[in-house]
Amino acid sequence: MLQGAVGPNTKPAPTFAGARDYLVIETEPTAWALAASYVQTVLLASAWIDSVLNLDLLLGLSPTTRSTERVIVLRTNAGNCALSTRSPLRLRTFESIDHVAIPALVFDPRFGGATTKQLLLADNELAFLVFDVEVLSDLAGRQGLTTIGLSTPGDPLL
Amino acid sequence: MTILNDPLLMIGVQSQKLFVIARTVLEVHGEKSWIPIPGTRQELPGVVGWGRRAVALLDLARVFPGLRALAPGERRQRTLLLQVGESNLAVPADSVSSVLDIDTSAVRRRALTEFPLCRNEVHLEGAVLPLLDPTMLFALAGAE
Repeated sequence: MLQGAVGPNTKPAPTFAGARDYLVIETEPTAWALAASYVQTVLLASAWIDSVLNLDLLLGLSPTTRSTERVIVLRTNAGNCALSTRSPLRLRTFESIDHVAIPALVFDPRFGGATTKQLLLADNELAFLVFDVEVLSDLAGRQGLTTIGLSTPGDPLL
Repeated sequence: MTILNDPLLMIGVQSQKLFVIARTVLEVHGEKSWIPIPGTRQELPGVVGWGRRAVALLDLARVFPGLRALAPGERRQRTLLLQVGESNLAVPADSVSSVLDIDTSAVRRRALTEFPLCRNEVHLEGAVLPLLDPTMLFALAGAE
C-alpha cells in the first residue's frame, strides 16, 4: 500500500465526475489517465501536506513540460491518498472509452515488472496508461516507501 | 534432414532482412501507430491497438545490432500480426515480400547468424538470413 494517507473519509464521493471524465497526467511518450471520480481535489504542493507519494519519481514520468508541483488527493475506501506530480494535469471528458489489457509479456520482471496493466483507448484514437493501485502499491514497496492504509486489496481505486 | 517445409515471407527492417514462416502471419497491414509503455523489455517497447485488444509490439531493430530503434511516434510502412502460441505479436517492418517457396535444403540449424530470436537460418544466394522464431521471446521471458 502507499504512503500518503491524510485521514479517513468523512464525505461522500464527489459527484461532479462522470464515467467518461478523466484526469490526464500529460507525460511523454504516453500520458496517464486517472478516473476523475477518485479525485477529491488537486492542490498546489504545500508544506502542510507532508505525506505525499511522488508520482514522477515512482513511475519515472517525463512531463511534457515542467509545471508547478501539484498534489492530487484521491478518495479511497480506506482514506485519502496524496500523490504529487510536476506533470501538466488536464481534466478531459471522452465520448467513448475502452479498457484494454496490456500483455504481460512486454514487461521485464528484471526491471520491476509492470507499471500498469491497462490501457484506456479513448475516442477510438487516444491511448492512455491507466493507474492501478496494486501496481502502484507494488512499485512503492519495491522502492522502499513506507506504506500505510490506502485501500483494501482489489479495490478499483484508480 | 528437412527442418522446415513451409513457405516463408521475407521482411526487411532498415538494412536487415530476415524470414518468417508464412503461416504464422495472420495479417499484414500498412503503417500502424503504437503506444509506448514504460518498464517494458527492450525488444517489446509497447503495444499496438488491434481491434479491441492490445498486442505486444516487437521492434526487430532492437534485436539486430546496429539498427536504429523505433522511436515513439515513429512507424514503419508495414505491420505484421503474428500468431505466437496463444498470443499475438505486432511486428513493424519496412518491407514484406510475397510468399516464397524456399528449397527445404536452404533452411538449416542456426550456425552463422547471431540474431538471438532464431533457431534456424536460411542460406539463399550466398546470403545467410535468420528465420524469426518469436516463441524464443517466451523462453527469454521465462513465460512459457
